Amino acid sequence: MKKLMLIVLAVLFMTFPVFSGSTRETSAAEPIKIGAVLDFTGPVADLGPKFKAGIELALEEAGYKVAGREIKLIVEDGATDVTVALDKFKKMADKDQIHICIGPLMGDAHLAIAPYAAEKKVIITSLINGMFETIKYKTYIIYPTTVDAQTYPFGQYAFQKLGYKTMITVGANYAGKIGYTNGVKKGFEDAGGKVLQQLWPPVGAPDYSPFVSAIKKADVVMFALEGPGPVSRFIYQYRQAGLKMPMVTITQDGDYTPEALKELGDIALGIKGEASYSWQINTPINQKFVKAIKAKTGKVPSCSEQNGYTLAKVMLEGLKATGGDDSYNKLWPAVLKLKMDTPQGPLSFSPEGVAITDVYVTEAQKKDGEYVLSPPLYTVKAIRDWRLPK
Amino acid sequence: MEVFARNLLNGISFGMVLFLAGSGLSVVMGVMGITNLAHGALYMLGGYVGWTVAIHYGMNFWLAVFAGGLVSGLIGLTIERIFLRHLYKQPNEQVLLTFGFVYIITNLCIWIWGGRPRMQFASPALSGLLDIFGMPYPITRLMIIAIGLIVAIVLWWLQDRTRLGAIVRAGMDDKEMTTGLGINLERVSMFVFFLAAFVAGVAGVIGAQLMGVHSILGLDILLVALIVVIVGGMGSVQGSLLGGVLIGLIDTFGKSLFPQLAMFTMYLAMIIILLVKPSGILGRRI
Repeated sequence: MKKLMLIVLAVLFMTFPVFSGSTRETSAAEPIKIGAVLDFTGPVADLGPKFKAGIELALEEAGYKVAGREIKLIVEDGATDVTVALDKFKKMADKDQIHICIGPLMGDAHLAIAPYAAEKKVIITSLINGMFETIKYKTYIIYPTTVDAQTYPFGQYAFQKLGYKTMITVGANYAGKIGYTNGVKKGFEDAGGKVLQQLWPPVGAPDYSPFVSAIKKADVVMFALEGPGPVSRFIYQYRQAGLKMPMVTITQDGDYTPEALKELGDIALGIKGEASYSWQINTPINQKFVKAIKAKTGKVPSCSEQNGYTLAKVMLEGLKATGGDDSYNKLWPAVLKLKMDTPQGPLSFSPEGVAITDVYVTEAQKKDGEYVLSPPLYTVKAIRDWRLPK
Repeated sequence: MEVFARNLLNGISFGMVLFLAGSGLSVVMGVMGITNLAHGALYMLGGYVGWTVAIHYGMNFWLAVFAGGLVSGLIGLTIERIFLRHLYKQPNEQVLLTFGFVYIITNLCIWIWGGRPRMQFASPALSGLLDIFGMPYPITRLMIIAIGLIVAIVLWWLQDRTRLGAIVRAGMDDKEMTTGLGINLERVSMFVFFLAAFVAGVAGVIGAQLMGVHSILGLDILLVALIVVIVGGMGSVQGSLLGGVLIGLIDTFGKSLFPQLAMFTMYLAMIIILLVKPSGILGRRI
């Protein structure tokens, strides 16, 4: 039995690979190395290739060159795991000597990486929203905004426009989704609503039925889970349990990928959610982007492709402004001065590195026999985290 | 009362999936002395194959269950014939080898099916709700309970009531004597290993009705299967059944009644049972 216990511990231990690295100097003649920690395995494994396609498209458009310097993209698998993401980041910062890193995805990973990124003077970006707590390190580009600020307007929308007075929240128990969930709660309660119950399933919960059976009666159930797989699993088990309360969600554009929508079918129809992007935004720059992504991947983009693309463009524009100098002292202020038109909408940054962008509301619909996310039903312009200095 | 009844059935159905995932591991470990850490990966492989048959090709659900079991059984048998049969009574080598197969099978699955998680799927005939004394309850979960019980009875009968089961137990106690009696022990070992891997594959398809399939399921399931084996006791089908259902019930009621402890309920149960009975509820002292 002792041996069996050792095996259990070994299985837990062996899932956390460790990488070591060495340090060396870089010179201006060398290519600019852009690192990316994306998830190709784990619960959100389907998002990694989408972010990568967006980043690659931006670099392909630039011919993998900026201000006369070549660009080398180094991609690592974060495995939807904080420890792995941190190890991969350390490897890229120490061994590859990157000064720019796009990703990882999860909020916990941001919190773990931030002090090291600050020490190494690496500019790092969130992929889909970031943690307010990382602002103090002055090395984080938080895009499209912080997790709480992203969902705050949706909480207000649920009360003011949808008419719900009481809400139950079901949020995955990790920093990122706790922030998203509490953003909705604050918006909903500031508008006059009341959150009656908050449930926190662990990350990777195999069976949501215990939480579904614990849900109390309210006007609406808001769920914020860790990616397309868990979201699909929750909706399926919620419907399977025969619950009739309407559902709303957040990060709908990231979780309701075309593939997930197709598999969910009718059971997801009518669910409204907060979204940072819709491929149906009717602007010339977005239409051009959608066409390019369709040519590259054969599919319409979700926010994952868009965010990867825009974040890479931000870095390229920043590098243009510095004449190809990717050192922190030059690139950080150059990026913060940028004002850009992007497929998602207008983009600027606060002096703390938090992006200021529009937030949308979308809905899962069936159109011409296909399951799709609607174009934006509602837009809140230029969201700025309320905790930032005025 | 309805919440209690719902949690009870939810816990039993989840426990049956845990039993199906853990039973093959327990039998191979306790009876044949093989530590097969690739068991969870075989479960995952079965789930992916089942999804391909039932959803991608739109074929019969029961055919998907059989196909999932068969593919996992054949892969398991290949691992046993080519590698593990040279490593009998060498537990350290078995652990290293089979853990390597977790990564090989997982990466093969990502290569074939990609990283996208597959949603729950079930037979259309079983996807409705059944009215139990006024409480609507998913038929799929009731079907999982029924399948779990059937598999438990078949495995118990094979292990405790057939000549095959007696040969396997005798072979582990004294290989030379059993072979000296003219019994082809290799063929029996092959069959038992195939059966355990087959059950893992079947469990993958049955479990996909609750959990879907994704690329880290191999390690996730391995961990819960090991917990089931520890709690129930090694080498006992009845122990795995009891361990699976007990863990399922504790996990479900724990999460429902004490959601703030959701991350720990399963492990708390394991620690308490280990403190009270270190060999597992129905396990032999080893």
